[in-house]
Amino acid sequence: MFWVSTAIFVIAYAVICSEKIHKTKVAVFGAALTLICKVLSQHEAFHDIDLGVDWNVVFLLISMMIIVNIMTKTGVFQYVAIKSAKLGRGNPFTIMAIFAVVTAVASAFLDNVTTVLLLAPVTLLIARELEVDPVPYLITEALASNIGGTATLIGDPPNIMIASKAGFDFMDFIVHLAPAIIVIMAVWLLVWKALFGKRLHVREELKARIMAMNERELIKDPALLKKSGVVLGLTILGFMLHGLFHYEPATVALMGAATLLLLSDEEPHHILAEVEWPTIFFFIGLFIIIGGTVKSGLIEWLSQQVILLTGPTKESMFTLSMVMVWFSGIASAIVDNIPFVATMNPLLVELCQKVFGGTDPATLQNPVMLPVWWALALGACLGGNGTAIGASANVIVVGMSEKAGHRISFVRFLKYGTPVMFLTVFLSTIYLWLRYYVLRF
Amino acid sequence: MLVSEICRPEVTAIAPDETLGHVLCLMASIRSKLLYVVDGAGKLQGVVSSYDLLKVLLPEFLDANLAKSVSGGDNLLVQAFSEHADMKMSELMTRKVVFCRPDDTVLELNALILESAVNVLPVVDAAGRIVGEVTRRDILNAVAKICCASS
Repeated sequence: MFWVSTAIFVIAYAVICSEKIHKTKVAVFGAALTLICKVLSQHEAFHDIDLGVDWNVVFLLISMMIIVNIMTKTGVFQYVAIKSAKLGRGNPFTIMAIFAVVTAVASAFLDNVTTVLLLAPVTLLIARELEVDPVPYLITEALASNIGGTATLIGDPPNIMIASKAGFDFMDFIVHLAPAIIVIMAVWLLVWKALFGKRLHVREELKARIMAMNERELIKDPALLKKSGVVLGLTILGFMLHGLFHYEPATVALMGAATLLLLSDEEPHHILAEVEWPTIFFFIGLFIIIGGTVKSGLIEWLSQQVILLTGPTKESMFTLSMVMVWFSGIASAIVDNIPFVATMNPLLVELCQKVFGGTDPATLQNPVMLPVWWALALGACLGGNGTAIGASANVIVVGMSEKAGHRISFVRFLKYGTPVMFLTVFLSTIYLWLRYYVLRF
Repeated sequence: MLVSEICRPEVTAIAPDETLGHVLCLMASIRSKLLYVVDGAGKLQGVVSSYDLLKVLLPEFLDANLAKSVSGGDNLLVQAFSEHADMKMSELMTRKVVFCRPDDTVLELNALILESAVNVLPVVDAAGRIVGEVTRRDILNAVAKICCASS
């Protein structure tokens, strides 16, 4: 069984990386093989949270997609984007910086792909009105969405997976990751100002075009906007309080999605058809493939190697934290961070078992383990900025830009993304070191 | 009733290497509903509809809602036009054309236009040459004539 599950895992990973076959097809086929070869029983795959599908992650993703899909129909995102551009008074760098902040904040609460899908068309329009190259704007948005998404439990899929595995609640992410992200955003934007502040210039009459835009016309359905705004607000409040009331995040999100479906006049089959089912099935397939490697002992063997290399003890896991943030960062720039985190999660659980002799939430979240989880989250999310294929938001932006006649080559993205990845992972390293090993709070 | 009795003989044939810039500026003087792209021997190669032209001339990222925010907006159309002015009709045209024959019946036309969901059907002779076109309204008029004459 060890070699069967290892072979399925390695081949699936290799084919996903090669991008020869769609990753969802590979993951679902790998999962079917895992079951047909009896590496996992169907019961384990469907009903055992440690070996099979993590339905908490699946339902959280589906529910958030439903809420955002309904909200998109109101036109509110286009409204916010045009309003932001006018706030920048037509100044090209100010608009770039405001768009980066708006993208980061939106990505912290919505998924990154949706955020850039909504903002990119408006960005292309603004760039055309200002007669500037839209490419730096679009890449900035992809980078901002990956950075902003790191700040919360629901911002980026790796965080959702880590939260579910280690039992973190929404506020844990706000307390431990959001401060790091605020600092990272501020430093990054200062660097960006030094790079782009002086280079971007437009004529006054072009600025006037932006100021003449009318954002009020863009709200298509004010009644639905009120409903969905209230539901999204309550859902976020629910996330903040879910730990207190002992609800899983998926329960909160499902309540929000169900309420909004009930309140909106949209046909459920339209809304549900827009859920990104390929992503959902990618997760389901991956969970089963990884579950196979947990049961067969591959993950245990890997965790043994990590212990030998980094020497974690009950007192300190400093080396492991530092290695984790850089290894996750670089790995996530090259491979999809979702399978990476799906593999690292059980590995860390196994490691915790070996060092502390238990895997209950209190042990998984003890002060010595804590920085290791945050290192994984920071590395995996921020590493996605490294290359054009490092994160889904990057892929979307490159695709949309090309469709609009502005091809972004792999190397051009690299010139923006790789330095930002190194900068942000470096800042994360400083943050982890200072907060958990020097100041210890 | 047959297609040959109701078809409009006024059709505009253009060469595959005509450019968008040239064709668009002649649009006001063109009476036929579709533009028919024909080769040197007069054989139909494809058709270009108003939809095809409008699609190229709209910046790809604009939807009806976002377009409301733009004041004026003529500059966006002019820019898209200048970017695509050199595009050839052969790049724009639909090659797989739904068409009818002069000896087809109105009943066949009625079924064909509903199935293919197009607005205009080219009428093509046995040699593959364009001889006319029929619109939805022409077919409806013909159906009305048949039905009302019988009642």
